[in-house]
Amino acid sequence: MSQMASGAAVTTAIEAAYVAPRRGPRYSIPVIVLSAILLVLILPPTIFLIKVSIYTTRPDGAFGELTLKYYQQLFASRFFVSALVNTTIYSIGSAVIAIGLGTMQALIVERTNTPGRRWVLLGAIISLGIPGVLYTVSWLLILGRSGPLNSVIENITGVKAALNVYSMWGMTLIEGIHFVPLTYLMMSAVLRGTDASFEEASMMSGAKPLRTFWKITLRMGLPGVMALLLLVFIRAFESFEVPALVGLAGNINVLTTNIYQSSKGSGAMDYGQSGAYSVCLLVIVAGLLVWYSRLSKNAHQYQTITGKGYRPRVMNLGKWRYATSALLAVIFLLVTGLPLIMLVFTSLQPFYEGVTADSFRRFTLENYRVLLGPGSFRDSIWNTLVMGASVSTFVVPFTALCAWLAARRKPGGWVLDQIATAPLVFPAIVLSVAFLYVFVNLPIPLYGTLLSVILASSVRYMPYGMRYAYAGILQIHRELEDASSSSGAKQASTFMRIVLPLLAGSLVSAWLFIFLLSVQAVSLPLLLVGPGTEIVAVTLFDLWQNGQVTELASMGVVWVSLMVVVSAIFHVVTRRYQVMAG
Amino acid sequence: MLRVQDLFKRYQAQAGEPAGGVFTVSFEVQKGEMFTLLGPSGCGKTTTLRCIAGLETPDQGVITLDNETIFDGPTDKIVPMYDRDIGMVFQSYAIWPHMTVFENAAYPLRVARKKKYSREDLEKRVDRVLEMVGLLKFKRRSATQLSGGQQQRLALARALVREPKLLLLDEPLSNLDAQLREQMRAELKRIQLEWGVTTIYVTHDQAEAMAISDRIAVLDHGKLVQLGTPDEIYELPRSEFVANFIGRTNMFRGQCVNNAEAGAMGTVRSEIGEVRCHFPARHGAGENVSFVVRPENIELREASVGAMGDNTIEGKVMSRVYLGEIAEYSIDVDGKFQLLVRGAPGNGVKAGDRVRAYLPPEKTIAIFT
Repeated sequence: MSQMASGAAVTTAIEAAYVAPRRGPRYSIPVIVLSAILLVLILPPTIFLIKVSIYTTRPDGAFGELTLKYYQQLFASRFFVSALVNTTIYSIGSAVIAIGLGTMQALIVERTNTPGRRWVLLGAIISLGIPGVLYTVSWLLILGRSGPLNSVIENITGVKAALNVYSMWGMTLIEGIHFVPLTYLMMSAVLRGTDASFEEASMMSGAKPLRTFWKITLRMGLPGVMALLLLVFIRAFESFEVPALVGLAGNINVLTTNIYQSSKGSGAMDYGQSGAYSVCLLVIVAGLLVWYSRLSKNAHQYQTITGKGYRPRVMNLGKWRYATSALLAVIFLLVTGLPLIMLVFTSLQPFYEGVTADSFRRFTLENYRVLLGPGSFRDSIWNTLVMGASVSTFVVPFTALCAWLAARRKPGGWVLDQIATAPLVFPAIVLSVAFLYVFVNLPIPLYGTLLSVILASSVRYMPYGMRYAYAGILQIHRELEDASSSSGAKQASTFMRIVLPLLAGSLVSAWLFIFLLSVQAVSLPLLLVGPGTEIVAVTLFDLWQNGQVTELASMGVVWVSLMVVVSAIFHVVTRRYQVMAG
Repeated sequence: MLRVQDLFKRYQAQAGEPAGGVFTVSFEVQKGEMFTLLGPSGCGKTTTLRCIAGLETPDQGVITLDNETIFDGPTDKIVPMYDRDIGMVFQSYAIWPHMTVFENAAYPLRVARKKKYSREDLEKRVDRVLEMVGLLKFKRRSATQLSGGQQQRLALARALVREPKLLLLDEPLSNLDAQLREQMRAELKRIQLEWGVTTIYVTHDQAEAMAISDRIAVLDHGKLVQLGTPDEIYELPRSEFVANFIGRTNMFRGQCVNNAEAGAMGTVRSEIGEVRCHFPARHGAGENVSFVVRPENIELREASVGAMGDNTIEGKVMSRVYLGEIAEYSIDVDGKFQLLVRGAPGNGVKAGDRVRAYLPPEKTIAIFT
């Protein structure tokens, strides 16, 4: 009897040992379905992009023979090398400007008792509501040939149009200043995440504040600064608005504008060349992003949020605090104040010819009257809102599910993470070109529709949704879900009843953030929209090309007012739910 | 050595109402003493420590270290923290991750402004202090490779390397697990004795405070409620708060029957009858007082033997918890009170027995209500 029992026990043990390695399935149905959707969205543009660069294209659009001539042409041309050099100089320059100003702002706000430091956040909120095109245009108006700055210089020195903004320094300066709010927010997070007792320990060791700043604060923050520098570099590298509006007019070509020109040049579109350019840019950006992810891993190694007994250390600057206050005001003016003032001023002019004594006598609301009346502007606002809302509404729940499956290491979940993050390597203009090929070749007439923009934007912002949802899920303690499972809930109900409600704050933030980004992008919809599907940012871009400056300004003012409200809601939600997305 | 006089620091919450701090706390620490600030979280012990360190600026008060005034409220004189010659161990250790073990410990000597250390001298001093905390063999390692206990030792080495006048320890053991905590506690005490450094120790753990301190200051709601040696604090608590916070106790309320002088015996009429108590302070007749008696000081006797004596109450044993060297009894008195008694486990008392509990008058302490 006992022998039999022990025999059975041994058999069970053997069985258990045999079965144990394959706990549960290797894949699950939701993972397969989600991966399939992602692949259907991402693979066609990628394949088309590569194919057009290595096949000749016949006049009817079909592919011809395999060739490397586009790449050979590319590497042989002077333009490619000069564009690469230009892009690099421009990106480094703007990264340095953005980091310099942003870090200075963050240090003053987080570590000193400067009066008015709380207002800096307001600047950041407003900035997030200004589309890149509009921002660039305002600066072009300020620094332009007949702009106020050149007028001042002319009055003093007598030199006409001393500053030429359509130049490398102009591009670098505008792009750099544009990134200041981003670098400020990220540096603030780094400073706040670092335990103040590291600095206190230094002071208690006898080091003065300045020495502590050099030996501890700066040294510990260095990896974070380096990672941020690279991030801004990448963003500038793939940026489009400033190079298109400033660089093209000044004959300074960078990689993104080369792609744009060969995709939308006069006459027939040069598929092969723009494909080859795009693939090159893609490879460079992918390499940079790999480097960035290594750097940023190191950047966070010193971040120890102990929570307990943590109090931020604020340095008393004494009389100097008014100097830092003034510095903050100057940065605010540069980043937010001047562009907005210029925009409002221009929108009140019947025609634009700079800031002169006469122009102050010509204020009129005519632009707004025309604008707000029936017409294409209302349509384009409506189109844009529908587009942004659709993109967010699709991306956010979709990535929440993907991120959950990935973060909780469900079978095959890591695949979802990889695929959904992959679009990050596509610069917007490259993705735009790639989708253009796809839509042109599709049997269904998608080209020129709002849906095409929605699809492309959804792919573009997928990684952002992933980031938010992933960070949000990591904040939810694993045991909260385990408790649901042990109460008898299936995975689906655990997700619906436990995960989603706890994730709500992060998801609302993500929705608003993706909305703001998608409605303000120019480069992505630029090649995709057609008549009747105008998008505000693209309309602004076109108005500038047509020289309709005052119409552009009034439209910009209305749009910014709308978006600042959205941005403010975003900040309130993010703060309320303490959403952290790195 | 260190004098803190009428220290006052109030924190404002965002809505403007006070959110803790310390309110006119005064004490003196002798040279070479291990002095502990003890209290529950939010009692102001860390605030006091940070004011001494110079990491917080008090609203009022005077702090004197070794005959030098380092903070003077009336004249607003503040010696900045980096000029105070005070070593501090932080709760999170604050070991700089971008430096080696050696560099962490050497930092206070490298940044010293009054004295320049030669390379040999610096190395000798750092080695000595690392040797003392048992980290000498790790000196070339990156600080990130240290365990929690090792980081704690390094933090101590860094605080001591320049032989400061005063050492401040802010809950240094709270992030360690129980076993390591006991070991580090002994080590801290050894090092403190060896170096003879005057030390202020902040903790919320009363057992830790009892084990390590020469004297303890108990804080509650920003006020110093009792100051004394561990024995005094335990044997003669002065308030209900101290009696309850330090160890376990039985407490009852009543009125003085007659005037009682400080240090004399007196009688209290209470919920459990008239009880003879020791009065550490003077109380007038009719005054409301409480009295406390520690569980291990109560003697248990069988209920059937002889007449009830003084200071004796009868009750039923509700439970007996066996703890090895000792047993804990919970005794129910007429269904109204619970009495906690600790006694030898071999006395034959079982749950359900009726027993008499004798409260020895010299161990029954009258305190302010």
